[in-house]
Amino acid sequence: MSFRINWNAIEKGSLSSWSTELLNDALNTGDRPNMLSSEIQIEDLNFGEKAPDFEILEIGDLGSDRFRGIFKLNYNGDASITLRTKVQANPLRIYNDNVIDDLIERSNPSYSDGVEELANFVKPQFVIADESFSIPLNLTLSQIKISTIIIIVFTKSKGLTLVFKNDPLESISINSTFDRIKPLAQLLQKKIEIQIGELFKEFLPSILYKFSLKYTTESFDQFHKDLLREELDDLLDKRVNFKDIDPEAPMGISPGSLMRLTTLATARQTLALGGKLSADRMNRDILTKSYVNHIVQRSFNRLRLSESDFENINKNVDVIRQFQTKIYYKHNGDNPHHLLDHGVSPKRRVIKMKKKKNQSKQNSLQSESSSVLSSPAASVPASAMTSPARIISRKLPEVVHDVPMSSEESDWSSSTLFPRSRKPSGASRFISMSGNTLQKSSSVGPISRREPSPPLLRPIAASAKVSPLLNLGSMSSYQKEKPLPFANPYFDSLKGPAMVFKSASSSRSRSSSTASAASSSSTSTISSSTNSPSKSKMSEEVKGTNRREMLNLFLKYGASDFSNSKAAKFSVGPTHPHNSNGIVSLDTPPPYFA
Amino acid sequence: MLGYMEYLQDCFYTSTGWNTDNNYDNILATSRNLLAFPIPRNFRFELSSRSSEFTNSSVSLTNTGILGGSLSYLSTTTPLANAMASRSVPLQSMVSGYRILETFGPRLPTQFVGATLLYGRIYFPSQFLEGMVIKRVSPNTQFILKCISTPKVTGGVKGGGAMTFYWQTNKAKSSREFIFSTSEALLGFRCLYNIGKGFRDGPSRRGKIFGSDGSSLSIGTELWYGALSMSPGLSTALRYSTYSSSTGAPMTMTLSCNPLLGSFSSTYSVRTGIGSTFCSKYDLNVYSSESDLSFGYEFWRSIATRPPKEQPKLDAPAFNKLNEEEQMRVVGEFIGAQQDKFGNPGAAWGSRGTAPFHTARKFVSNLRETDFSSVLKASTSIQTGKLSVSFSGKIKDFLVTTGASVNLYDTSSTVKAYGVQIQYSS
Repeated sequence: MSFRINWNAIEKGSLSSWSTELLNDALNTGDRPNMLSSEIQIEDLNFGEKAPDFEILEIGDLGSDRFRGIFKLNYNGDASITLRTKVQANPLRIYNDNVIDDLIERSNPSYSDGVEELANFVKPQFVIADESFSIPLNLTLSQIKISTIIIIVFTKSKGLTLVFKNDPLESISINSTFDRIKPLAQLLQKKIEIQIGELFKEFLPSILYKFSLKYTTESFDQFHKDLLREELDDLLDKRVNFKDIDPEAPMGISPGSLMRLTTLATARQTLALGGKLSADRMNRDILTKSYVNHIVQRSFNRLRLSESDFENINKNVDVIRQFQTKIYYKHNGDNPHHLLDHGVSPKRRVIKMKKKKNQSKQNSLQSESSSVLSSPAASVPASAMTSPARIISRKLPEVVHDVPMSSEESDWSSSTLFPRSRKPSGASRFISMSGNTLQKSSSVGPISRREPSPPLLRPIAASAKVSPLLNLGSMSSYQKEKPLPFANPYFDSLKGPAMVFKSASSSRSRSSSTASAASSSSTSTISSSTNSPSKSKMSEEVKGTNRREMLNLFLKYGASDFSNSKAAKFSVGPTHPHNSNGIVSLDTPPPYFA
Repeated sequence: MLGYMEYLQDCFYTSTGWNTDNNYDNILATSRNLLAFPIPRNFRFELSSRSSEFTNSSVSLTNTGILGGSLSYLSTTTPLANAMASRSVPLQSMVSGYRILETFGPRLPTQFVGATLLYGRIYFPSQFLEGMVIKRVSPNTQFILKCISTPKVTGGVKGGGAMTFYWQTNKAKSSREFIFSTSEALLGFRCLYNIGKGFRDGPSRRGKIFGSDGSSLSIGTELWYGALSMSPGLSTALRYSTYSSSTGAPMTMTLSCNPLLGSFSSTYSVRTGIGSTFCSKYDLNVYSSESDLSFGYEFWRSIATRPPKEQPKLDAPAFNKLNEEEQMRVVGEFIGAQQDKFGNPGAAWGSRGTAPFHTARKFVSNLRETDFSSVLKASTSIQTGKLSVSFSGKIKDFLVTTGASVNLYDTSSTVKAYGVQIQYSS
């Protein structure tokens, strides 16, 4: 595997000046050799046009806190560096300094006070033979050829160790002020080659090691936080004022544009996007597919969930998982008596209802007024539950993941999901994962739309607590205050049928009316599809219902078109006196079955 | 200001009749004293005593953040009668300034053959050792050994040392010096030749102080070669010293050059008055065309001008009783008076420039006799912008030196060096 290095990007940045500074500091730290009479300055630093070849030969050990790899580095580019310094040309001057340095070296550093006196005492007093004479020296290193194998070992505790397997420098061309003096030029060439070799062998690894220790000793959290803070500061700095754009007329922007800009700006803050991308109009807690997709594509990198959010999700996920698996096993179980023994019917799917109270009442009611109607309604979900519920449970881990994300987090679009701390956590990964599942589930959508099943519809109707047919006021109030437990793209596909009864009842919104139009065909298929395979089975399960009667009724009402059934629905409505209480159970027939 | 031990060393040279001005080492001494005078870099207190005429000891304390000090001892085989305590020592002999060239050639040669100076000093807390032996081998030859030793202390510091040998020959006409230093095996040769009439080898007559007209021309060179580091060094210099014909003020001009590096420098120093000296130096490098102009100034403040000596009335027998020097002075004064009267130069008398000679002598003797209380030195250079100021003086019985050095161009930095030295000797 090899890397493609965008070499040109390096020069554009401030890297050049940054590295110049770094080198200047590095070259002038410590004691300057007596040979040099001034500091070393980087005159020019050019990274060249050609990029080095960097190849991974082997990665031996890879972990979150350790890394070992062998790389191959080849460079044959046109990078160059020009240094400028002054060289002391008088050897006696150097001699003078050497005498002092020698004494300092040999003495205890804290007692170096008398060293100069001592040196002046012992060295002969030169008259002017030791006069300073500095020669400016320009040194250009170019045509650097590097070919080496690098071994990098990194552990969190021990930092980074870099080893060159061979002498990295193949050749280098050195041009200096002394080029015309052949022996001097050769000497320089030789010395510098040795020095650069040492630089690669000792200086560079030690610098990198120190640098890595600086970061490994810090906690990674701190490191990330620092990085993010820097990023945030950068963002804050890049604010543009109208004044900067047009200094003459700072308010010369049209009100319309200003409005749009304001919307955009607020959208960026709250993620409440106007226009095409939005949550469901009817229910803000339901995310539309396009909205989710948009968020996932554009900004899931930026989503940051706090740990508390995550805990919450887990809790909800558990609840739902339990709920669904229970249902699944109940209805796939071989023991239908199990249900009967406990007196639990599939209607129990709506947990939140005060079942025990109602069931007796409803049973009595149904038996009294519309036992004919109620029985198919009760039986259909039970029968249809088998096939789609299995689908759901199979997809459980995925579905379950996005469900709570979108629905239970009631303020999905508000800032709690995008906490200011910007702390990256598992949650962000979770989001990206759920993004995938969302897309998956959206692909599932059409399938389920093609054959939507009544039991899947039921929870919507059931959780509505109130038959939409009968009580419009409570319906609308529900939509405002209570989020659907299964609001997710899955259910988005189910929304069509769900809207059917909305339209059937009132046709209050444009979207619902179109949805009803679209779903009218699908509802017709529902009836045909659901009644066929498990008809006999479910009829067995239902207690106290005439199988034949139920079938007939079901066929009759299922096949009938909705415009006709409207009247029927209204007529059915009054037969449920408890609807107004908002405690109507699942036993209440879905309106389209009525 | 010189340390007490350096002062004693000077005293030893003077008392044994060794003329250090005749060394190439000191050919640029005047300009060096005026331009590159040392600035004390710490607080230093030196207490010295002469236990006898032959033995001296000194203790010094220094403080530069860390308290240090040194203990030194010096003994000679000849009595140093001219060494004085700090109460009575003339400031001129403690502060090196303009050097009035004295007689050439060693005086009183035979008497001091075998004269030896032994000196040792130990520094605390570093335990550095330095030692020196000066031995007069023959009337014209002197041997010097300087050595230092750094002790082996704990902490992996290796001990070591260095030695420097000098073999000096000093004659009226010329002087030669061979040097060897153990550090980098440095070999050196220095020589100086005095050009002109009036310099004679061998024991010079007393009183034959100056050349024919009090001026002297010397030329010298030094050669160095570091055997281990293969570093050569070379310089040559010319010195001309004379006296102003009108005021008798001594002046020194030098021209020195380092042919290897192409640097030339010329100095002009003049003792403009009894208490003031001015020096200028011009440097030029022919290779790099770098140049520099430096100025140095020295102001000596005298305690009180002595009342001029009453000239005793001279009659013939009294004049005859005088020694040669005194006779010359009297004659000179007379000639000077005559000159003043007639407004003619001394040349009209057909003498060999005795008139300027006389004024020069008068100037020098005035200088010698004046008691100076303090001296202020200042030097600056155009190229480097370094300004150094130093003050040395006698306060009560103490000799005090203080000084500071700043860089005028580099405004960001503060004072580069400053310090105070206090000396007391008895």
